Amino acid sequence: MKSSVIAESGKLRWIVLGRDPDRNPQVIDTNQYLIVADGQGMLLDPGGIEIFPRVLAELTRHLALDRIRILFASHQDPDIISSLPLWLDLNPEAVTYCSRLWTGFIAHFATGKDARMVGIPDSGMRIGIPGSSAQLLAVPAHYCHSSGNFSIYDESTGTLFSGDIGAALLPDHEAGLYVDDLRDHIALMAGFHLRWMPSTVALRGWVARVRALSPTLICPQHGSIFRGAAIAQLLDWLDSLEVGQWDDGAPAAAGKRVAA
Amino acid sequence: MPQPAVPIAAFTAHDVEAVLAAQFAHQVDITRLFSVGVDILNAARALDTMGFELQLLARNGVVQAAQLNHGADAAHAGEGQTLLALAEILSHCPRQIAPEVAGLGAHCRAIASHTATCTSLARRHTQHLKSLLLVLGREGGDAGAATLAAQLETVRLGEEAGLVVLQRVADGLQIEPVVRTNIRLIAARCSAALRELERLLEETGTCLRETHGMLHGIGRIAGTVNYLGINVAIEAAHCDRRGENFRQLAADIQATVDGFEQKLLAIRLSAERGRVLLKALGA
Ligand SMILES: [Fe+2]
Ligand SMILES: [Fe+2]
Repeated sequence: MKSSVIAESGKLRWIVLGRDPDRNPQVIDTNQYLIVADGQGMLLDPGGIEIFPRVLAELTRHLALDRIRILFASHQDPDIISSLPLWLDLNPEAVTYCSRLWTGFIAHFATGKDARMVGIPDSGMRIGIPGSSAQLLAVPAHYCHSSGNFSIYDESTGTLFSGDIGAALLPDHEAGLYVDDLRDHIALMAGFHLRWMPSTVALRGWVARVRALSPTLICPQHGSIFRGAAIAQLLDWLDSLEVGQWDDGAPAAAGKRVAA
Repeated sequence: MPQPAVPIAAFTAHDVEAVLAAQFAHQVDITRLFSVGVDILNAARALDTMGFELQLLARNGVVQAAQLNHGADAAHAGEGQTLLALAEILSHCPRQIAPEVAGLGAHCRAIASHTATCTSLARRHTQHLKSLLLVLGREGGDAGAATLAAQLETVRLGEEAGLVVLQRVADGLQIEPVVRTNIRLIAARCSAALRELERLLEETGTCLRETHGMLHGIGRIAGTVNYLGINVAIEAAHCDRRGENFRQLAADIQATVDGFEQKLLAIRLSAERGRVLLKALGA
């Protein structure tokens, strides 16, 4: 597992943890993001049980573990938050933020602990990191792909954590940390978006919200981080997609095949 | 300090895996212990049902003996009396078994619950320990790795002593303060988990021992029932044609008692398996 600082302002620092060369090939590769503000931490999509030891080992370089104040889950998938009990073992005081739809579901991961959960209302909310002046914005991303889904935006650096949106299934861990030009990257994202995203309307709604924020970095939970020209290209590409379709291969369905 | 024998890369790749393999074996044993608790619980439930059956059979015996007594001529006057007395004693036995079986059930539920908690705890502990070893392997350099490799035997047992050694290794390393703090925090978590595991396994051991005592009590009552059943059969044999129902009753009692003893044996074997597992787990 490697980690690098991807954004920094006077207030806070973003660190990505991922690209694990020792990863069990059975588990999907994930990026974990850590925001550190005034020595206090917020962990975005902390990841699954399987990769936890490597995430934790890497995280020890950046922040005292008892300073992880917030665990944020963009949605309820196991690759996002099944490590929850392991983080709570280390820091029972940490508060878990997720969509109000999923608090009761994610609590299943907590294995007998009284997890301190905050259900984010559908319209989103501001999340302050305790012990710091940092404020993050939970931006609605419902049905992209989960029905209760949020992105996290940091106004101070213009960094947007997009969860599964913009996710790419990379060929190996050596793939670049950043995408500067989308052209070669689309093939790695297309399958994922067409099959995982259920709603074109929802996806376009998210794109519109994000355009209004004009982020300088878009950080997905799988794959590479978008910067520079790739950001507008990504948003345009997402706008062009007709998602939520499944071709069962039968002749009758041939006409509705979507362009990947 | 011994000469660095294991290069850092080899240490992280193989030795950590060896420690973790031992941890996983631990976890499997704990899961087996959980299934022992469930096995005993199921057998205890069967005992409960059999106790109820026995009660019905005994009541049936009381009614039949009373009828036999009522319709008896001078020559058979005593037969019904003896059978009535036997059936009445018999009908008290299930009542004695019920609380013993209930106690057994409570212990089994405790065993199942403790071991279920242990399973989860051990699983989480393994992940924390793995993190700790990864950090030490990364930060230690060759000397740290060698010390660590030399001490892994103590960690292998999942004992707290191993963690103390790891902590000492960490204290000797030149590392960033934040990493040092985190090593201490993870090691503290590992120690707490091991202490909790030890406590729960000890309680499981206590439950298993008490189970043993209860089995003894239940076995004694089952023996009495068996003896009474044999007497009913002997008495019934003397009752010529009118004893037919009692011969059947005696056979039914015998069958239930046999089933009872089989379940008791199964519980004894499960409890023994549990004790062996606990021993393997060092409790
Ligand atoms: Fe997902
Ligand atoms: Fe995902």
